[in-house]
Amino acid sequence: MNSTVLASTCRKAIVVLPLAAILAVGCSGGSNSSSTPQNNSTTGPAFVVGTDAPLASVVSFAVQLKSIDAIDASGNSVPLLSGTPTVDFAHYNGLQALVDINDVPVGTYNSVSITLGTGTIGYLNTQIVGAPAVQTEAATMTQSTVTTTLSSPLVITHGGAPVGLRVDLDMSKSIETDANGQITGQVTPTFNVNAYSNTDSHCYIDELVAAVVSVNASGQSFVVQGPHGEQFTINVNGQTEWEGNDSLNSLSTSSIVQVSGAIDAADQTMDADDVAIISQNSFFAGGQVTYVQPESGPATSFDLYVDSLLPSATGLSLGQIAQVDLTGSEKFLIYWMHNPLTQFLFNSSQLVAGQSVTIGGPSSGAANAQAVTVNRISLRHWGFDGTIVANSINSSQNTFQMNINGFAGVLGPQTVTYMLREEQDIVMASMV
Amino acid sequence: MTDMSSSSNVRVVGLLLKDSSTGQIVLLAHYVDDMS
Repeated sequence: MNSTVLASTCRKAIVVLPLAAILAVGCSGGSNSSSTPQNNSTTGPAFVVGTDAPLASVVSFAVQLKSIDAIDASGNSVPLLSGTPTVDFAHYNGLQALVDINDVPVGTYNSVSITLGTGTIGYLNTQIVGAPAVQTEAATMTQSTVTTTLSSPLVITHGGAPVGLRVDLDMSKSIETDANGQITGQVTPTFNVNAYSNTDSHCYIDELVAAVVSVNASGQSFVVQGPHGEQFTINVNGQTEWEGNDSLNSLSTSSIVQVSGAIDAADQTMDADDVAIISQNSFFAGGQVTYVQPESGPATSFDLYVDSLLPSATGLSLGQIAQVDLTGSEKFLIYWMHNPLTQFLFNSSQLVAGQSVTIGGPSSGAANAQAVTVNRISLRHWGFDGTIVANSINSSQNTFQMNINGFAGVLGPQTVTYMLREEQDIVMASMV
Repeated sequence: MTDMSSSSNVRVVGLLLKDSSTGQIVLLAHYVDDMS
């Protein structure tokens, strides 16, 4: 994937942190200094960001990252992962998320070796009558280790700002399909790996979803923990925006939050620009709407492909399609949009297949995956991939059309008209 | 917009909404990536 961002519309990268993996983001270019691994006592911060180029109908490609090692010119290697997390690359859908951040020996690293463990492919079967279903099969890796030479070295310094890797799995090149487009199960891991610094705009974390561990009101911060146990301190200030009129005082150890912000130079710390409380009752799930009933008018239920979940011990499980029943009392929110218009833009009548949402509520409402009840439903960002239709770009109207190739194209309309509103730094699109 | 060209592959990241008045699906996005 060429990650070049159209400058006129790109303000920052959006990062969704799946609950299946705590991600650390960074983008770089490296520094001018050069060094080689010395000893374990001289270290600097390094992070790993995961992303992907999606493949239509593939809703999950969960694979164990056994190791990601940085290698210097002398062949010395250092691990960038502290564990062996299982990461669902399909969940990223082009977004970036933090995989890990650790202190590693300072040095100049020219290549990266990634070793994968077992993996599972989940894809959407829309050929059946009624609601789509997810089918899964084990991935057969044609190779488990991939070594990539970095175009710009990863330079880790002691006391310097965090630097790290952006690990981009090109699923369309990695997951093999046959002549009929059917997934065969064969996977040839194809990565694009680049080094970045934490100040790069592509490293901005738009969505970190995690449970609140503690709140420091006087210090204007709180600590969160993701499903793999890694904790982050979230700094807030007067510029931090809170969704739904919430504030630092609204947080408790039962809260699950979604945070946008940048990685701070301090260890395991993030500076929040926006905070949304997506659950006050210790239960959260996120994913894509795959089916809405009825097709028009206020929805009474919708199906949700679950790609993130907290806690794991509920009636729901990752990779399944759950049914969320609506009573009419749910609170609808739009992430990064908190004004009076929100209630008109997203409610039970505005649910459509292809939306990416989070749901939150009491754990008791999540006991049965086919009858989930929640208090909050939040609309979140998602990536829509496609090809611009020839001669459709209208600069005066700021519009263009594209054919959607990815997951959303499987769920909904495949021809889309987009309208760019650059003065608002947003893009509008209407599907036809 | 000036950087865009026909037949190029792009990714639009944003919020998918249904227009309550027209029923059309509208996407509010933060950015467009050139995927070519």
